[in-house]
Amino acid sequence: MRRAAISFAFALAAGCGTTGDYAGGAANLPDWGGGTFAPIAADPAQSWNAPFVLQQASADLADPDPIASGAAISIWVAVARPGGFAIARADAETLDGGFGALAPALSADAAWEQGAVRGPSVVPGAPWLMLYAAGGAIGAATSPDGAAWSKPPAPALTADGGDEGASLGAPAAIVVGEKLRVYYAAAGAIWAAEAPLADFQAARAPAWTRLDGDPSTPARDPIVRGVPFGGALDRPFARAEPTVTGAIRYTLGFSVALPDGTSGSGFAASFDGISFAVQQTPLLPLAPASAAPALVRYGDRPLVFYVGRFGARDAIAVAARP
Amino acid sequence: MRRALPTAIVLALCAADARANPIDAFGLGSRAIAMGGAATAAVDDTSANYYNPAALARGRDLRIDIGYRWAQPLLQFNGGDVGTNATRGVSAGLLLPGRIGAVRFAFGAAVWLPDQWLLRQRWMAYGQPRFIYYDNRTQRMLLSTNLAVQLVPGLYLGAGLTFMSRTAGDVNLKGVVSLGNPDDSSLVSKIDVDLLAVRYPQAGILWEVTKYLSLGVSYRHSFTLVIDQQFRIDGDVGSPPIVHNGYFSTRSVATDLFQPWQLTAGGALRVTRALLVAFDLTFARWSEFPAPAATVTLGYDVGVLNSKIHLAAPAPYAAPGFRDIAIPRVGVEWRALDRERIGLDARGGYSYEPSPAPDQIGESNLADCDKHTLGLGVGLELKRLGRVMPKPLAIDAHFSLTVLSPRAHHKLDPLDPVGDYRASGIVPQLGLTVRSRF
Repeated sequence: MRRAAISFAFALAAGCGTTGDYAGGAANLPDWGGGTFAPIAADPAQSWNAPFVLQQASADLADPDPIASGAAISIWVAVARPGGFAIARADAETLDGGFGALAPALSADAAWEQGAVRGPSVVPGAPWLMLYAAGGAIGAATSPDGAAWSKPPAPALTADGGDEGASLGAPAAIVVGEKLRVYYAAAGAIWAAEAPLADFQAARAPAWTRLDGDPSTPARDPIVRGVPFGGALDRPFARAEPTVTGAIRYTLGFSVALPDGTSGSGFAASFDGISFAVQQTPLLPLAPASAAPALVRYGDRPLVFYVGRFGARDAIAVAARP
Repeated sequence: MRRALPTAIVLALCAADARANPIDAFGLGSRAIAMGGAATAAVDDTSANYYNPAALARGRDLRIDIGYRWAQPLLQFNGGDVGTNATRGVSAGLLLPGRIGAVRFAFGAAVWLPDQWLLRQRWMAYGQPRFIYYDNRTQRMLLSTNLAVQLVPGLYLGAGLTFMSRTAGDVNLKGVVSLGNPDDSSLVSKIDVDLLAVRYPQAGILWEVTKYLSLGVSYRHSFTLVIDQQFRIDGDVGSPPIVHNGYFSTRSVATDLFQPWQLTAGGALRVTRALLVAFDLTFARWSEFPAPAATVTLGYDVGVLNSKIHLAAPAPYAAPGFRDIAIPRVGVEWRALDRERIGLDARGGYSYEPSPAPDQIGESNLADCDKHTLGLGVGLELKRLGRVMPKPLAIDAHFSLTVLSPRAHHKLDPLDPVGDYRASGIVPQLGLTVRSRF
């Protein structure tokens, strides 16, 4: 009896299979940090020609500013028109479904804008705010719904004539507490200033405070001075988002002028919004050229919208983590 | 004479993702698992091979236990399930009692045989987030053998070895490497791989202080699986050769399946004839946990091309900084029904295992959480099965649920490629064990 019992037990133990399935444990890994992105590949589920998600046959597009809300995405872009730029908006119910037609959002109809408005940076709220670049200054428009915009007759922020030089480039706006903080390009670097949000809500001239990127030095410093792989910085894009730990993480994407005359994309991040760590490598591959990277969280994936060359036109493309 | 160029020591192109063993994670035998693993002094079956080898000498019957269990870690980063594999398989145990003169002894063996992989070794990019405790740790077989003796009535001593195997191997290519056209290369391969036995000891002591109180101490030694693999190619390069007798070699030495040494003290008190209460406290030496990284050694001699090759010296990875932990366990067993032909036990238990892993603030992402485990189980004892099974047969079922306390990791570097994340999860487990005595 003992022999039979032992035989049975070992036969049962030895008889189990060894048919393992795929080694799991690598789904839904967190990746909302720095690093590199690559243009996304074509997907049959997409209605567009990846990685280009938005293009115009008769106009160059620039300066994408996407805002995701659930599966939907709205994007504001600068559209090149004869004699200057205008700002338009397109909406997508889902990214795979593609964007609808571009609708005019803002045009250059004030003298100080010198015929071109571009570099939109939209802040949803009540009212919605749009900061934009025009005539070497930064303008501010408001909207009750993000569709129809109105603007005061004068620019909201002008260059200080000192370290910033005489002309300001494109802005990137975020809300920090009760203030609207604007990162902007000037003199080949990224600078920052902030003003009470209430000034914009009340449609009065904003009372700006210029921020110092390095308070340890006597002079005012830019927020991001440069990157190792290129020269002048332009067209910043900013986000301030709480992480799962409760910290606020500030991210900056920006265009980088490259030595060969083309442009690339850089990235910096910070936990205080002032002292930024600069990524030493490009956010996107240097070839083909890219510009104006804009990071957005879409579902559980970080995406980068950017400007790339599509045929003979500049168009809006999308990149994801490889 | 070949000239050996400086060798680049590359730390951790990849990282091992597995620590310890499936029995540490889930326990052995339905009775012990249902009692929260508090079994060092309460064990009386073949699971003593794991919990306390000394207890093997307690019984006088030949015992054969066999069971099956299934555990499915449901682990999440930021609310998204990472898809960790289930652990399931057969456990079997044997207890052979004997006597030499007045000395009682017992031989025991236990095996855990997963039915998906006998052993899975895996290395991932160093920074890839993973749940170190469950990701690959549980995907290995385990064989333990022990010998126990009764020193004096009521005092038992046991010890044994647990066996594993490791691989060590070389792949060698020899011949001519064509630079212009790979098809013109002529190489002869030689593969030499050994499956080496490794073993680590465990020991225990058990003292039946009174009829109602038992105390025990057990020790399980540490273990690290070392994987040693080498690839080397020797020969001329180019046709006609521009490099004579050149070579390139790469050797990877990786550690995997780390298990800390553990010292457990336990007690079992029979409060009433029907109620048994058990308690264990385990000290686990996690601070010896090595950097989970592979050491890759590159060597080459390609003659005139040597000056064209520049290997950057990589920065070594910091020690993972794990800490030692103490794990309390408590379990109860209540004889709910005790009839002539049948008995029924109800069991419950709880354990708390604090995480040995520090906050993952840097490059590593060895996620782990504090673990609360609740065990429940029933045991049906069939006392009279006739001549076929004259001694009681026990059928035990268990369910346990481990809850991983949510834990957030904040990165110091805002450019960290992973970013901040929150780890959480649960691990349900089901199992059945049949314990037979002859």
